[in-house]
Amino acid sequence: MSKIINLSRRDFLKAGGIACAGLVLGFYLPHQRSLTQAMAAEPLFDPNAFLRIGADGTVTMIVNKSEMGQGVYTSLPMLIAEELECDWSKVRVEAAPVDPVYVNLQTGIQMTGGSMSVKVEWERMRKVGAAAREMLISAAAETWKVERSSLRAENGKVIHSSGKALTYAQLAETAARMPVPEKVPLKDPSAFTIIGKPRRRLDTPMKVNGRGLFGYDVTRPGMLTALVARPPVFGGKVKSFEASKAKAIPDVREVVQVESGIAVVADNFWAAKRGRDALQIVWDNGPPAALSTQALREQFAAMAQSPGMTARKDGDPEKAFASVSKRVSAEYEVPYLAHAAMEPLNCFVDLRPDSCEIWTGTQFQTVDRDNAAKVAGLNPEKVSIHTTLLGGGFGRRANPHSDFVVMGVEVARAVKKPVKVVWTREDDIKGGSYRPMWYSSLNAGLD
Amino acid sequence: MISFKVNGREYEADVPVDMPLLWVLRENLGLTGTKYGCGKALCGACTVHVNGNALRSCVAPVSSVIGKEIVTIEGLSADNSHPVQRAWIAEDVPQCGYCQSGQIMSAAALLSANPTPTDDDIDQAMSANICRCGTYQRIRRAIHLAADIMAAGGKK
Repeated sequence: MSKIINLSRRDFLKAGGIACAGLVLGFYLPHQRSLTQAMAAEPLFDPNAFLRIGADGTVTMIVNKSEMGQGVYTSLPMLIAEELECDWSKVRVEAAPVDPVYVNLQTGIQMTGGSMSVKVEWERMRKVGAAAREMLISAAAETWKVERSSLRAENGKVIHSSGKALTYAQLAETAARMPVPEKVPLKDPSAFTIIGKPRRRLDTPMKVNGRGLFGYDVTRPGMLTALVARPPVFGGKVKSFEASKAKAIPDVREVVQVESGIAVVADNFWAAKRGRDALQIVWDNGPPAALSTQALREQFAAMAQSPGMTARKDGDPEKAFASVSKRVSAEYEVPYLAHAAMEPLNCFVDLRPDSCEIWTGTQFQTVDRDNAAKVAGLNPEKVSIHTTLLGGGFGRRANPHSDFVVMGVEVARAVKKPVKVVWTREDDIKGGSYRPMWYSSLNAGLD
Repeated sequence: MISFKVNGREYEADVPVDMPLLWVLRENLGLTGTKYGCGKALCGACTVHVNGNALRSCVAPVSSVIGKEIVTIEGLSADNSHPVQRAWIAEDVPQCGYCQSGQIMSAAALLSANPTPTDDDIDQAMSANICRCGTYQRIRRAIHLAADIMAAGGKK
């Protein structure tokens, strides 16, 4: 069972000058990280929480899932708001940093995928909202010296039976000192006013005026832009390369060899692109060069005719097959497919001797952070990931080798400057990881 | 030095003449609402207006817009009040959102030329703006709604 802890005093009130002092609530999962460990970690501004109610009335909901078009920057806030009884117009969304508190309760890592975000967060998010609501009610009870039972929460206010009211903004700091309720009552579904009702997406306004920040849009002072020439075959290596023409392109700063390939680092995209086009590389493509789609297909088709694992067996199908009146056989296949998200892959990395700051649109924060840490030679805790909007995910931005993140860190390590490694459309289509090829064989009998 | 006007402001950029307008907008001017999707004028994510016409900025060398007036998604309105933006919000069109700047700019250009487009007009004008999330049905509804807003006196 998850346990709610109040992070307010520890972080926000201590932080003093922070403008959004108020109520902060987070859930820690004892099996992921003990409460003592959680309390011991003490950065100045620890956002290990799902909710902040600011003294200015803003209700900030920290979403631990990546927004890639599926609407999770609206659906998870709806779960919190259903119980919080806040003013929906005051709700703002922030992407969660990487932290054990934000892991997917089903998979144990921080990730978005498998169409499970709402299902997995269904109870936890409502509890966050309900706990905060109860603490706000307690704060009003203390302020007015009245019984909690004479109070109700409604649309961002706690209202007394006499009709007087205090806003959540007015109550936030007092609420932060209230004990977190051990058990929080959750609404019966028949009382839902937000869940199950249409609600406009919170991210629409910023997606109709160009202000929504995608990874490709990240710009930082002194940032360089890099394109990497990767081997034309998976597993290929650079045999030799000639970079003098690339280096002669104006605004190309460096050409460096990294594990992923040859990086052309420039002041801007166009120079990096022209520089990469001018590279002369001899590749050692290795054994995978002999693979072909046709050969794989034939291999898959042959395998589909051999007995596979038994998932379930009822009765005596072999015997039943002997007496069927009609037999149906079919082969089903899908090819390798590029996910082809609208936004080609990209990753900004600012690698310092003791820290690594990453901005990217990813579905796989824990894995990316750990892979980045290995390349950076840092402990994972030194790596932070700022998740931007994703211009589509489709699983391409969730892969165990974190290719686009690792490539970013490799280049940043080589050039020792903040750098955004971007992929062209061609890179994206040619560079997998593809949706796997699949081949299935069906034999059925009908009575 | 190349001079042109973007969203009503005069700019001069010291860039190679063959650099596509897209990268000048995004990197020199910081107008990142215009997106890179393919670099080959195949997806429409980079669509802007040049002298009122929709243009794929990813293949337009900056030298081709010297002295011209460019409008990007950021210049459509200061407050999401353009009829197309209002319609997009009302229909909750975007999903991931990456293609939507281009969709909106193409739609705005269509409505300037044809204030009462039919479904066929819309399909024809919008067919080269790709959306990987598949928001096409809402895009079509939103364009009809924007036409209604404009007909009812919504400005622009």
